[in-house]
Amino acid sequence: MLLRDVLLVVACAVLACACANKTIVSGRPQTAVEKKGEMAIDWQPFSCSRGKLFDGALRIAQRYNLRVDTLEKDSGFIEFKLGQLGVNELTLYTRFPLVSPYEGYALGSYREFVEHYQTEPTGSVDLTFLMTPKENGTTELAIRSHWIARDPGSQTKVSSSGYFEDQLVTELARETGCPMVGRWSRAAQNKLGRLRELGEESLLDGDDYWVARSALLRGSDDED
Amino acid sequence: MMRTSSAFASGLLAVVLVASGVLAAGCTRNVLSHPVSADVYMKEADGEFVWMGTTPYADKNLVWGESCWRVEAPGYARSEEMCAPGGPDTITILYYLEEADVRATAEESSLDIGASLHDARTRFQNGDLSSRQYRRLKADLIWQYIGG
Repeated sequence: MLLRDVLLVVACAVLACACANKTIVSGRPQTAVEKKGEMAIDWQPFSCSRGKLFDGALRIAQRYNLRVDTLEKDSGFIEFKLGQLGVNELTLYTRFPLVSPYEGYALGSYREFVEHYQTEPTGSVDLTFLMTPKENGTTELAIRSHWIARDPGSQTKVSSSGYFEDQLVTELARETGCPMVGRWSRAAQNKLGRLRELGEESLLDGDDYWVARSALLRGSDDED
Repeated sequence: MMRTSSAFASGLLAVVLVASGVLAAGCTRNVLSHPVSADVYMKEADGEFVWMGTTPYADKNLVWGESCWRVEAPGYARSEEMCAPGGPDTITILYYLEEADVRATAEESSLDIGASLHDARTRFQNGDLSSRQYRRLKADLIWQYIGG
């Protein structure tokens, strides 16, 4: 069965249950929708020149086996593609596409999908880096990412957890020796690092990361 | 007429209004809260809490047995459990939720995150936690672990 079809069937089933249980006291009128794919947008100022950051991004791309599709050094524009994501990468880097419409929490996981349907999704991501020099000497990095999950015969857009993008940004800062300024406080960066450690140990998935990351981001904004 | 499972948390107040079944339009259970849009959970005798909807919540039922209620809203302390007796009365429960303190506590630093997450997953797989409860518990544990 196709991934898209399975999600649709589950969503319809939950909706049907919700209707049927409306007059039953112990019913659970819960509905579910397939969350449409979203483009993750993030940005981060680095305290170094665009050229230095650009070269560092290419080295990072090589390290992660990202295929470079477009390269415009004069405008600080790079397009990457990573086309061989397995279940483990999808689990960590993206949010499971079936979510609760009320709070947005995931109704399942890729691993559960594999266990139930005996088919293993794969995925890919297209990344765009845009580096813009600022008057104060810093360079602002904007990242856009498009994630796709596939099973044999269908594909669906999925939302980013932010894990992979954060990992790239952190690696880039380390690679270039250019500290990140603004956006994330140092304390928030440390907490993000702890989150990624949990991810490396397979103790959290993309949805867990996204929830904690969003809360950290709100806190970091408050500190600013 | 009403009882709670334990003492109220500080700053938490629930008001219960009971109307006569003769005068009321039906056997209705109303749950209201400040803030609105809180999740409403209900359990019947010997049952488990199930999610019913969000506040303002109203449910008419021809036969109401004893039912216990609580509400939850993100960023607010979970309400105490309120139990309403069975019968034809129309009962309205008002909850005033206190904002939760999300700061890390000293004991959180000693959290064994691996064991705690494993335990949560086991409880979920055994059916002790709903998907929603499991997600929320994981989020709480992770948040505590990173000192959020």
